[in-house]
Amino acid sequence: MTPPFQYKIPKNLQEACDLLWDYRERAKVIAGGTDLIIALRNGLLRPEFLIDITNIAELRKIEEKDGAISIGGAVTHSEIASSPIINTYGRILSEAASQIGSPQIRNIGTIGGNIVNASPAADTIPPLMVLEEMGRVVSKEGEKEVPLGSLFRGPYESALLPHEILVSLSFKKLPFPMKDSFIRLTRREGMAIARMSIAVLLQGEGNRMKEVRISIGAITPTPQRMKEAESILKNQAFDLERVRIASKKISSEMVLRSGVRPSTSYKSPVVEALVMRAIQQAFEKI
Amino acid sequence: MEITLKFILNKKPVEVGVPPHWTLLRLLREKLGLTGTKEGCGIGECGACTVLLDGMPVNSCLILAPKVEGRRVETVEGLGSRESLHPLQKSFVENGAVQCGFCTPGMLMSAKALLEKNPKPTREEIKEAISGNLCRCTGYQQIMEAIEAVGK
Amino acid sequence: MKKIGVNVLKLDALEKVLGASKYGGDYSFTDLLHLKVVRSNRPHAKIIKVELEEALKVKGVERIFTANDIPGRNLVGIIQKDQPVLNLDRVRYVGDPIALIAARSIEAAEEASQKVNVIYEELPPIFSPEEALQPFAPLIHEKGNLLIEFNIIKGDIQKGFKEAEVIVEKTYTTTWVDHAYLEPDGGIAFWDENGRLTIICPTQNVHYDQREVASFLGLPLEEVRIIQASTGGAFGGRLDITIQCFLALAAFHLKKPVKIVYSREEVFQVISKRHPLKIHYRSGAREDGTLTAVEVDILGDTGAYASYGTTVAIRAAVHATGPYEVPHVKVRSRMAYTNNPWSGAMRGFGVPQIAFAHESQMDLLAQTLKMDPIEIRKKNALRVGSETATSQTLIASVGIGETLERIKEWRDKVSCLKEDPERPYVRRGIGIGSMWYGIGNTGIANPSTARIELNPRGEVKLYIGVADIGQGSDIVLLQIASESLGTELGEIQLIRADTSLTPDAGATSASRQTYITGNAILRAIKNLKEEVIKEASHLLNENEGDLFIEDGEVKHRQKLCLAIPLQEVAIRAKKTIRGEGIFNPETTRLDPDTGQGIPYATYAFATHLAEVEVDIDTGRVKVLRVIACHDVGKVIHPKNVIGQIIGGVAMGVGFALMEEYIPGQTVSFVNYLVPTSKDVPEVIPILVEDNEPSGPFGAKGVGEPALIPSAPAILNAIADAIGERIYHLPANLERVLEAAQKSKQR
Repeated sequence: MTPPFQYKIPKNLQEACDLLWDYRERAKVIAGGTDLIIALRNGLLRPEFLIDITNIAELRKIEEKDGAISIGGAVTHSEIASSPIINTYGRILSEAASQIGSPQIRNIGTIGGNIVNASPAADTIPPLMVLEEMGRVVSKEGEKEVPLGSLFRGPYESALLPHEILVSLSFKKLPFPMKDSFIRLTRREGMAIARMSIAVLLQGEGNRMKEVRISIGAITPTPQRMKEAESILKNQAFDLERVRIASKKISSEMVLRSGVRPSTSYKSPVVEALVMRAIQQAFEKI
Repeated sequence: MEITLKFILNKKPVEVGVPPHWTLLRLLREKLGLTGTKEGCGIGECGACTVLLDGMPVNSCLILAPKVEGRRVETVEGLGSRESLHPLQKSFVENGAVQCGFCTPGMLMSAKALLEKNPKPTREEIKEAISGNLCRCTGYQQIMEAIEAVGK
Repeated sequence: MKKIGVNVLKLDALEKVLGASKYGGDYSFTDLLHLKVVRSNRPHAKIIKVELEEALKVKGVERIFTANDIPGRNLVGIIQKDQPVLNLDRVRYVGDPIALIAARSIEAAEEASQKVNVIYEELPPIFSPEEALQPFAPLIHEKGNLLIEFNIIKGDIQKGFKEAEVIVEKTYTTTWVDHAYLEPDGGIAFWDENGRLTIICPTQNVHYDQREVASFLGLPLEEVRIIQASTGGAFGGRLDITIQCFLALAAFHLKKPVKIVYSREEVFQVISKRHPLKIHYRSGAREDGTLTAVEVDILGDTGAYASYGTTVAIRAAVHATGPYEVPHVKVRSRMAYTNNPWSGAMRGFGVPQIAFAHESQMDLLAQTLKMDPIEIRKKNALRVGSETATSQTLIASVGIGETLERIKEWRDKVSCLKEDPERPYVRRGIGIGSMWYGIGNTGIANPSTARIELNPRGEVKLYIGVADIGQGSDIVLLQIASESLGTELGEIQLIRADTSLTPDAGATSASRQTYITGNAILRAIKNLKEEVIKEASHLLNENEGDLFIEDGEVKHRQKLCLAIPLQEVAIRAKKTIRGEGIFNPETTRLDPDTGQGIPYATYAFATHLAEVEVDIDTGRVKVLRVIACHDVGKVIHPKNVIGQIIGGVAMGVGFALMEEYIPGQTVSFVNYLVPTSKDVPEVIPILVEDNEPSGPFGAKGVGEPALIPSAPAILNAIADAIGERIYHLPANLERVLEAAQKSKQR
């Protein structure tokens, strides 16, 4: 049963920032609310105020400007999945967005919520990481542009302060020809939480991988780019043995960051196999 | 402490007082007497509470009441009447798509949203559209056939 | 036959598509009190003290009940009455009820429930049946931790194994499975205008509920009325008492209408589960595949309370051989109490678990003998004249051979490419699973009574106590009545599942209602017709012997123009004409030492073929298609039967691949996964109608059989795909990957 609170619907960013500045820890920002309402229902949160940011125009837009694509924090997964702009410039993100939860969840859940909730299994995050998204964070104190990775403190723990709003995310248009692969492993097909999700972006030049970006969801406490594996592959000719070495690097990185857990004996070989598969799939598209 | 909400419910304007922490599901069932929309899990994992918000299927258990201000809500009660069933309702009855019936209202709403966007969906598109609606009785096949039959 | 074997519209479907059908939680009163149960958070403990003071201070709280407020017997249970409704001095699992709060709002009830302070003294908990049966193990119930041991001894097991040329011996395990019916339990109770304590709730058996509630309150039976609400699925989970006694207790004392609705989390925590079974299985066969011996040891975890544990132990044992003739059989089947969640009835009563074992064994034998898995099954399949493991000679309607034959035709058509050149990590396989299932309760009386009447207003009323839980028994039973009476379906009013109006039909379980209540209806109609003839002879001044009934009319053997509708007879006679019928299937009690006897009057049979695709890098299994061939006897309502089969396959997919209730971890649908529309395979149902002479128009049953062969077929298909077998359900990602890796290493 959801505990009582007051509900505020600011009409612009200024108003939202003012409210959050005043209420601080007593308030929670609500966008789609798909995670927040569950936390309220289960008694994990008891805010006095909810600040609904979904009526703020800036947070609801997908825009192409100055060679970058910007996505408002309150844009829903459905909107991302069906956006022609995202489909053109960040296909891997629309692919991931189209697989989240259920159609019902995608219609209300937002990209900003996915990030602020900081679930290690959030489906949009690995694609956002390989797209090298920047987050625009606004508060009464001002505005800052930060790399996506710095918005996470730990599993289910955002680095945003209570009075800050994630207004938008943006990424530079990818240099042509970037190829992608997104693989999501789940226990069931529908309404599933990712057991792991792999996002790979590749830029090829003949048989060479000019640029390689890899990020993997649900294997590390916070989202990471797999830099060491990337550097093994970058500027190298495509070669299965090399890809295998890079994949192994990723599984050892997983153990390094998450420790050995009961799930490790399953996840290690699987992450290796799926990274290989994703890189191969992306490479074959070149 | 209640707030006053105005929205369009099943094509008719309503004005109703509701505590802001109530979900749309609770508002529909407890205040507006529309018990056709069901609560199966309360956390958006079963789809029994699916209603249409501005034509989109959503889990009404995950929508706080203040969010529907000024918007359009459709529930199973607005779909058709005993005298004049919606084609989907008729097709569900005729195709054996109803067993225990608890998923049926939500399933119908998901199907309605699909057909409005895509009047002749493929089997795969139907599967996707109802993938957020659990059914424990039918195994979904007769439900998909019923939706397909309306699309034809 | 005009009404049998045809698809007529389900009676309840219209109300359900309109959203007008009322489930327990949909009922309301203006001055309603809301109930909330306070539950144990310890698996095993003594209750030292229950402190209510703080909870009683919560605004809106009307009263808090404990076991001391129970006027009658504070123990319920279908077979052994060992489960307190509210626990006074002891809790046996996490979720055991301790107190019941009644408040004017749900919020107040919830708040108060968090303020009840229970002081416990921990007792050592037991979490496995092996532990429970150790000498000197702490006792969960005074009578001991062994709920039941049941044995089947047929022939000479040693001789059987001596005759065997191959022996396969393996251990199989299954886990807890939740019914996951979509409607969380909810209902209301109030005193009706006739001074009866009335409960409207989801249930599979109103008359059982009535007996339990009456004894719990110390009221005469007739002062308790149970009405079945529209029931959002059940699958066995609503055979036990769920919310009934809580509603009863509060309404009894408060004299006000009360309502309770469980959250999904509460349903997961406190409703019975499918029994986890550990099955040690040894089969022997000759070189030609003929089974010579089967020896099985079954140990199950019934959890904190008995519920249907005894039934599951016995039914699993009786079905342990599978649908095959085996001359020498020895089965030991035991259930032990633990401090785990209590297990109870779930679609199949232990047979889905044992079928996983016997079907794996059949494939292993076939593999060892280099035989076709279908041929080895056909060779051993029961047929008319066969003797079962309990030495019952089957006299008719044994369609297992036919189902195998039909599946073989399909199998021979299915060309399964093991590998996929596009996806080198994919392996495909096909698998067969067969089953048999005894209709009705095992070796005990399970009668049903039906009543039909014609009244002077010209109405025809059929009274049955059957709870339709969505499967469609209402329409099937009406079809039977309508066919037998010769009237149109629409002419018969159905009065159902209300203890104050309808006779006792027993439970909607064991796939029994079509067969048993169907027969009771036929007998009621036969008796009604006799009464009608008597009345008509009186009214018309004709000899009874000259009159007969055909197509719903009384006719005369000589006077051909005489034809009076049955209803007309009651109108003219100005009285209500009644017929009552009782049917109890012919069974015998099983011998307590050897388990021999006739447990069921008839059996359903089925074979499924599953086609699967396995990702050997991740362990992900996709079931592509299931061909499901069922001998259900005569089909009364094809769409209903097919609906049962397809729904059963979906549940079988869950049982095979993903469903696993982990005590203490599983909380909601987030971590208890049931198949979605994207997880179910295409199902091609095939109906074999091997008529059962004792069934109504030849019908048997299908509810549980629908589920049973799917998981075995899927598991056999996985083994076919990856070349390694999985012995533990569910075959989740981890287990499949492990098996695939083992296979690669070979």
